[in-house]
Amino acid sequence: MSATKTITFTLNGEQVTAEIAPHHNLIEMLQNQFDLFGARESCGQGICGSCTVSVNGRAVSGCLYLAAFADGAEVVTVEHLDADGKLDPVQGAFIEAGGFQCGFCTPGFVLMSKQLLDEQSDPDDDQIRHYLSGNLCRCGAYPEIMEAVKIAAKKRNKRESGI
Amino acid sequence: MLDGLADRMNWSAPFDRGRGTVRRGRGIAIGIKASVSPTTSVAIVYLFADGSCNLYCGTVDMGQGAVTVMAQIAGEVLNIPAERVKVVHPDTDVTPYDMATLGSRSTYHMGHAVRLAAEDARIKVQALAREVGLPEGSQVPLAELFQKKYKMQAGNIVGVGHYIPSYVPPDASGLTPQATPFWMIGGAGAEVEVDVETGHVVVTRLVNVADVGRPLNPRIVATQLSGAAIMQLGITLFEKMHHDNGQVTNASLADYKIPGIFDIPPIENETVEAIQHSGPFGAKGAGETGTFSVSPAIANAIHDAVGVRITELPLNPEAVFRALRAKQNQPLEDE
Repeated sequence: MSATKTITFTLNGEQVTAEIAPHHNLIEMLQNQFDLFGARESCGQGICGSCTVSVNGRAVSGCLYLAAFADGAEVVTVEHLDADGKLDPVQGAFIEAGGFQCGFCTPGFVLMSKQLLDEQSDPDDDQIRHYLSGNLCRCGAYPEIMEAVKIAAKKRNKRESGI
Repeated sequence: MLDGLADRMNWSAPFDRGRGTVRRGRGIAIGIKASVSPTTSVAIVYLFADGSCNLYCGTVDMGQGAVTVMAQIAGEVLNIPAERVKVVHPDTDVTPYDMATLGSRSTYHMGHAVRLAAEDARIKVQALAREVGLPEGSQVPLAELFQKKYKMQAGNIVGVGHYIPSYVPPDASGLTPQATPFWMIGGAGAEVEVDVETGHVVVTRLVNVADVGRPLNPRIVATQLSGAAIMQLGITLFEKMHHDNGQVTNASLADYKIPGIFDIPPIENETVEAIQHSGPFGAKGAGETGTFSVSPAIANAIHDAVGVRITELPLNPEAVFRALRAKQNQPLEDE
């Protein structure tokens, strides 16, 4: 038995505590203690991006990120994007463009795309590719994902300009 | 289909062959494949007293969009919107027999079973309408029919459909007039750049042309074709599985490279609409069609660019470089 530690952090806008072991990663904690399955462990090596979680506003690979590091942090998962009852523009754009087949990788792509658009409101193709190069999609929905990010950029820019 | 490919590839126009160490080439290929046969699919359509509809079918939706298409088929027959058909996911406790979700067979085989189950249910709805004294062709909502018969919200209608395609086993010489219920036909064209110093191949354009019968959901079919071609692109260029006495020795996804977003060339997809008269609403399978011709089209393009004919996958830099050296009579030593 390894010693456990209590951590406190903000999860999808709520203050929570979790009992974790030093070796637990973020995904194990989110799935086992909070029933959040949107971030999925796939490669377990930080290669595929399907376990992407936002910590203090930065996307991290939940499979490599130790749960202990979440202590005091602000953690956001894909489940939080429609917290106001509406899909995030990025989620809506993925549906509109058909940016997936099986959907396993989609939460990771959605979170990365959102972070990209937070930093760069009107990215070109190369910027999109560069930003999403750490996310793998075995169904090969990349062309539709590129399209989705562009649609999402348009949606967000329209929203911001209030049109 | 070849015409469509040639048009898209501007086949008759002059082609830039590249210069220096980067040579350019282009190639096309076409392939056909049978759907696995004979196989059986069974489906059940369940109409409830409130007029709602469940569809029990064993097709596994792993992203190909089967649930959507099966709901479309049932909805079309029953004249209700597809989104009102609740497709019950495969569960051996609940859903009837299906051979498997493979071989691009679901839209055709399960599609027929769903169509037949819905038609069976429709006949029973018409019988119920007669029973409660309504004239032929009356458009009374189903929930009201049940209400008229049972004097309360009760009752149900179950429609069952199964489909077994006609099939003739091969004779002693291996011939049969009916090997498969339908053929899949897929073509691809590729333009490539080959670096003769490194063997590195970049696909600069990929065109897929496919005969998919009548696409029941054109958007889904286009994504399927594109995704299939991209998966095949990975097998063609990158994905090398290493074995040691039958044991796969690629340790992880880091050692088995599947395509990432930087590996995707501009892709064009075109469907040649050719109605499959034996298929449900003219449809046939499309799952594998996008894969057939990608590897040979790229291999042909490499041959066109640098004159080496490679017949083993993947066409990774090592394979291409070895072939180039062998062609120059300076073969590299084996690994």
